[in-house]
Amino acid sequence: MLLQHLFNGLLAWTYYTLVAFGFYFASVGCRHFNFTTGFGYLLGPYIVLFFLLHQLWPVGIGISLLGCAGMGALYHSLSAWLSKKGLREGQLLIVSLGIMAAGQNGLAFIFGSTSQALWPFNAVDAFYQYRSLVITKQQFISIVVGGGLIVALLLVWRKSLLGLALRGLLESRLNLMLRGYNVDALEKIISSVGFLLVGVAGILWASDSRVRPSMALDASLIGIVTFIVGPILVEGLWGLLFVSFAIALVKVLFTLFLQGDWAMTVPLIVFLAALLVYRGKLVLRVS
Amino acid sequence: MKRKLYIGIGIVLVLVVAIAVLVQRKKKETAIGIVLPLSGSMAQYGDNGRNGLTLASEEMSRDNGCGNLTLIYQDSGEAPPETTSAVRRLIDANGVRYIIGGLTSGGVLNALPTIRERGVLFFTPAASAPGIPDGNVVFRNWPSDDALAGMFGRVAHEKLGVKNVAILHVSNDYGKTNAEAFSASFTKAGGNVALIRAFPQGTTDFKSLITIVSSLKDLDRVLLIAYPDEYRALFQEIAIHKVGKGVLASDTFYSPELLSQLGSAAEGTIIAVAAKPGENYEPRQRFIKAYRDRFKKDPGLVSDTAYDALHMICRGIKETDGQPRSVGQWLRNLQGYQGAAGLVTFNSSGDVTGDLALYEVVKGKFEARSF
Repeated sequence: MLLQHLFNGLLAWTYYTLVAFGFYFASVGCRHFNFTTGFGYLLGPYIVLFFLLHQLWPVGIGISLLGCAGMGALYHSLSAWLSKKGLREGQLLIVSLGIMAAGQNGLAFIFGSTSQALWPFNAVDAFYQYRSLVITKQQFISIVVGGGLIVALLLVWRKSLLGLALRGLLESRLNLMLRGYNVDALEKIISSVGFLLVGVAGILWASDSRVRPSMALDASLIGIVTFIVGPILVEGLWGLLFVSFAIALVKVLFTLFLQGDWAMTVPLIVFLAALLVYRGKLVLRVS
Repeated sequence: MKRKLYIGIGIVLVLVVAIAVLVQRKKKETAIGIVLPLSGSMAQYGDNGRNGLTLASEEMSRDNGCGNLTLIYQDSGEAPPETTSAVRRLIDANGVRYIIGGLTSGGVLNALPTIRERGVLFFTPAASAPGIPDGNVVFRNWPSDDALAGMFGRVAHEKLGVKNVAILHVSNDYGKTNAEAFSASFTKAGGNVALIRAFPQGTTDFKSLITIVSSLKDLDRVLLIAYPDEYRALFQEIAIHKVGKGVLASDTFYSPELLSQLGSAAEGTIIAVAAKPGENYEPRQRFIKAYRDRFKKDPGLVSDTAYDALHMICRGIKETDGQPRSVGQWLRNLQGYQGAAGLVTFNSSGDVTGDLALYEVVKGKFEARSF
């Protein structure tokens, strides 16, 4: 049982980390935290679902990833335009929340508000079995793809051109502009990568479990908590990885010993714990 | 000038008389409000109920059984407050005095204060938590959960040979009542409840919960008390991790549509539902035939009770002065009404009694199981 719980925790950690990275990139790209990224978490799996219903799932995955990246670029353009019109961060946050809610309702209207699986039950085969531990094909793919992406981002990203650009954007946007970089295009690409990562997390999660329109809020909650708390622990992606680990660990422990579904509560508990331990830093960061 | 004034007054008078006649005509219409979950995870039960009501209203229109009958539908969705909102809309905006519906206990319990305050007659064909009907303006023709789940607990131990069980239930009035009643009678009969866990309606991730259940030693069966959406997610995990010797499920599982979606994962599941009359009972056979002819499929959960509810209310309206309390009094005095779901006699609190029936999923179909 312990092995299975550890594996369930590892899966959750993978999904949460991808969501955290996605929100971080999208927020840096758009220059404000936004809830619209949470819609990417739905857009990915629902596009796959649409094509799956028409027996075209390989095409569906490609279009889904393009759709998420496109959504990132589109939201970046919208937020940049709204910023030029004088909207501030708080107002943009509300706009992004409205887009997420509208997206959720739109998907519920098209696909229904009930949860959907990307695979029929008979396609859920055990890939590996050892005592009580059962790993399905879908879970194996999630670990390989999700884990691979996370490792690549942690180890390779920093040395890549986009990784350097991200760090440059975080340090000084003006500096990059003065050096002749097209900052707007860079931001757009980074925002697209953010939406893409959240979309991948959504597709992996839905292929392993189920997807329903209300899940964008769950993803956004993980995104905002990791975005605020992560950099207090360690700057950059490692901080997000640690907070995602904390959320996954607390969720597994709570589910083991307590009643109920803790998906929505656990990120808030982690946030409160961080507030107690790092109150000064946290207040400074939020303000 | 005076002539124009007289003409004006004349026109106004004609309009007033015309409106009065129209209002009078409209009064002869019998408007019945229907509150059903037409969207969300309970929508398939809502569709079953709507079909039963459609069939009943068409029969009554043919036989002129209830005057000019109009059914006004409102979607109660999933959350309990939505049932209250739907009831308020029907009373305040549509002016109805009779309402059929409210399939979830949580929804009906939430709406009860409004129903009693406004004095409308409310008839639920499915909400099964104890304490819902009052025998004055609130009635139901679906047996109470505590009675059925209590019988199921005893039968599971004594007749099905289940000794050790785990219970997973949705955390609302329906889930809690069923789990507590089953657990009490199962334990009293000598069985052991190894685990009881609740989960919120709409949960999609049961990985950890099914891992816990699958690790329980000497577990015979797991009892699931949920709705279609959670059943789908639960069976998705059960298809991967074996849980004891199989699954027991509450009456909400009794849905051919759900069964076809679950496929082989649901094989061997035993379901407890309120017993229905056998093949010798003519009103039920007539209903099933009419339903199949009209909708080209078998009636589902709630179809028959919703059908009976509309027939009974209309008869009550026809045989009394049509006031909700008079219809309530008429229903209370009703003895052995031959409905599609069986003989109906309400007790003083507006409730009906029922017997238990068991079904087992064999080769993708529900088969009656004797006990």
